[in-house]
Amino acid sequence: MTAESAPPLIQHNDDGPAALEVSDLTVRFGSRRDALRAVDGVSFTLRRGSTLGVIGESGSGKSTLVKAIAGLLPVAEGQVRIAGNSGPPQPAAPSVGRAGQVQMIFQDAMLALNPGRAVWQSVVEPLVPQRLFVPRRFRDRAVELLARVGLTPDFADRLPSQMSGGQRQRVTIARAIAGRSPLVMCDEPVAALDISLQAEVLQLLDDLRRDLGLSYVFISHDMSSISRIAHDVGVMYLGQLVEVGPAREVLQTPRHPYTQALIRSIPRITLEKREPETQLLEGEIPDARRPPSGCRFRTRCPFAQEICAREEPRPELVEEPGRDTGSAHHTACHFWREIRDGTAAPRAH
Amino acid sequence: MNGQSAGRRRRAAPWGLWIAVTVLVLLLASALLAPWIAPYDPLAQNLQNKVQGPTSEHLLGTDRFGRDVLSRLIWGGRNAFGGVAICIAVAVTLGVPWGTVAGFWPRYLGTVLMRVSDIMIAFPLLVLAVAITGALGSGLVTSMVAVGLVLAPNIAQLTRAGVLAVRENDFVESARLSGVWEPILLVRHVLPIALRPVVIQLTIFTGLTFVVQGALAFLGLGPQRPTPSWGGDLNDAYSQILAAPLQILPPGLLLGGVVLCVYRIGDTLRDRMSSNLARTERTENDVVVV
Repeated sequence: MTAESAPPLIQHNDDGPAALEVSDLTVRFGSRRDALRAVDGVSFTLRRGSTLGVIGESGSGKSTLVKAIAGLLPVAEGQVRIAGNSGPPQPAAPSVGRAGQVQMIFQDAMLALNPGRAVWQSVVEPLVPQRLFVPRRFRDRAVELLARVGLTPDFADRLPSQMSGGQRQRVTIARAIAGRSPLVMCDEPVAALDISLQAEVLQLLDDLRRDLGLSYVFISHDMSSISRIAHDVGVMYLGQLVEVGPAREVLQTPRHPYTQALIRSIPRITLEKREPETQLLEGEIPDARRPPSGCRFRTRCPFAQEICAREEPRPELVEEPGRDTGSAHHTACHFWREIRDGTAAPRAH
Repeated sequence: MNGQSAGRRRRAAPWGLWIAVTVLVLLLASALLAPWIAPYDPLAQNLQNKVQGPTSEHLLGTDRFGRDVLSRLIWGGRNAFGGVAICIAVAVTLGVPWGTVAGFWPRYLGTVLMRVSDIMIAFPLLVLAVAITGALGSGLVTSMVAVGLVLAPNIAQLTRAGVLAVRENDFVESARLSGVWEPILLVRHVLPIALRPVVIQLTIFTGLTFVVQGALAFLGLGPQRPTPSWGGDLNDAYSQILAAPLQILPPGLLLGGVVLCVYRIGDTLRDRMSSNLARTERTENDVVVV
């Protein structure tokens, strides 16, 4: 996306304050000449108390996006506004900029907890950021927080290595809610868990969101997790949001060919042997250092035409007859209407 | 640690470790208590009884000036342990901040600091130690400070590697999100884990330092005669090697034994710490600390 400012992709009919507004966010790695734009002009708005699911292949920039929002990575261009307060990008001192406003839940709880510290000390860390030693009286608070995520008090004195993966992830969730940060970045929080635990942890996250009024940006490559927890869904490809809108619409009637291919590629449980799918995603995600001209998906898109190499598609509002209210549905594809109507010609191979 | 793992540790403790610990503790105690337990004045000469083998009066015999070898080794232990303590203290107080700074500001300052350490490491340890001792003047303290200076860049590089590895961990980023001050972050989350390999390396350096100290004393750069020192006494014995070849055995075996004991403890430390880390790595499929 170019530098000229695009309107936020999700616009809401209600005037409630946004928990998070991201406009034209760009994150670069490396020097200017050979810079890798891991996130390139992403804009969206997160309603207070809602969950935005972000899906996309590995390397699409999902994790970079949430880390930049949290202030852990320097923002090259664009703005991140949290809870209505203007938070200018703070590349110099990310540790001071958004302290306490955002928390994060990581994929691997083992790496997200200091292996040498008792669990209760990790849980209350957001409450005592400027003390060298955590006073013993905070242990009671930790026990309350652990109870909130379904752990009994005897976990308080354990080390992370003495817990199961699901229990550890509950501990990091307790830490994320300890400081009452209204915004929580969830970076594949259930991907490392057993299937049986995933549903429990997702339910816990959703309950906490409802009870505490939290807002989540929830990264996953697992559509079933996303469909369970997200109100809105954004689809990332090579650092850009190619489609965003209400979860039901994006997952059931996706308009971008990339989203369609992603959803088709979900393996389904079936006892019959199926015909091989005709339009699965082919090839690898291109090198983000040298993205394709125009539409970044064109190299793998079955509907790509000449214009796709020339012009970068702008996000367009998907107007559907009889769609329910809620957030708007945008897609960045030149031919989404033709693809919807079945008049787009698939490229011959 | 809970009782369970402490129990596992006790079961696993082998005899070699206990022997090593006992020997070192006894030697350290004898060095500290030298005025009371040494049978003779280590400097008292008795030229009528020189170069004796072990007797009931002189358990390890006498040297070429008729001095009691056992007493000299007991007193020499003070210099040995004290010198090693000085050396390790210098290496740690210099190397750990050096590596920590380099690990926290890796781009410019860290690069400069690491190039300096690369240059120092490029010199052979003993050659550099001899050169520095030569510049500072011979003596126990100066020679051991010199060895500490030479070891410091190794400690610095190890510390830096640990800091760089640990600060990539999600728990460090999580602490940043919570607004934890960087100095607290360092003390609370980074150094306790980053310094584990440094501790292991220090036991190896401790053993090494006993050898280097002996070598420097042997070369006449350590404590000056007639002060008792293990390396100096070894040199005295060596000068008599044709007349009395067995004279080198007491100081030589002592020095070798001490080094073996220190290494034995270092081995155990390494196994225990790295197995803790390896367990994390294996179960979580990711590296916490290199």
